[in-house]
Amino acid sequence: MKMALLVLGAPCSSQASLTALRFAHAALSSGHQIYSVFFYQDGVYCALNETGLGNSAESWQKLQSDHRFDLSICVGATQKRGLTLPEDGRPPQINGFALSGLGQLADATLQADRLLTFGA
Amino acid sequence: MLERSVKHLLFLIRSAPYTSLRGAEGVEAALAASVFDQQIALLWMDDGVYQLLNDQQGEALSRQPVAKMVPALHLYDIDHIFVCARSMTERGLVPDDLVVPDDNRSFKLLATAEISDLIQAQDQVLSF
Repeated sequence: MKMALLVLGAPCSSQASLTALRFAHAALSSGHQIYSVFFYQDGVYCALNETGLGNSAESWQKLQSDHRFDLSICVGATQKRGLTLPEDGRPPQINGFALSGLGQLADATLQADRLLTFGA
Repeated sequence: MLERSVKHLLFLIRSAPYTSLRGAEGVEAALAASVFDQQIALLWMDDGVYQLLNDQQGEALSRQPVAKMVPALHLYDIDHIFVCARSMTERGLVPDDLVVPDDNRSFKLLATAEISDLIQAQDQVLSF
């Protein structure tokens, strides 16, 4: 089954990211495919540097490098929360998370067999 | 998983206004999805029904109430707008307390069993 994950919680104030990571690992081990992981609302904080809680940027990057799925954060939510965006013109990203819009989330709902929300 | 060309997407709005941005950003996600010509439905339930109260003055908190966006939903082809009847009753609210979508439309109040049917009929459900 092709899955999309939506993460809405920040690393330290919510269990969302850790649960989503563990779920992703388990799903991939069971032979499912992760189509994309989209970070929205407070979930965008998961793109910040690793905090030692095992649920921030480094943990997600490692999973993504092994399994190649879309790792996206919502640029609107990022700006609203004051996260600094890179200034140069390269494909915009923070710590390997692609800066993207809600259209990406809509695409995930249409492409995946199941979308799971973590942190709501 | 139903196979059909037009996907049915349901956005559940369960969060109270002002305490967090969750519910308002959930409606924004629904508006973004409406661009893709699928069938979008919105269901306000639990504390999310407070989002729809009439006479909010969100400007006092520098916030635009979701209620103000409701009359514009049909411009995004979002015509399936529902409210959980039990959530209203639990909070002492009646339909007259809510904002009016527009002159030709009203929120459809759903009983719990009808909500189950609605969720069953969807391809994806997103919860905010």
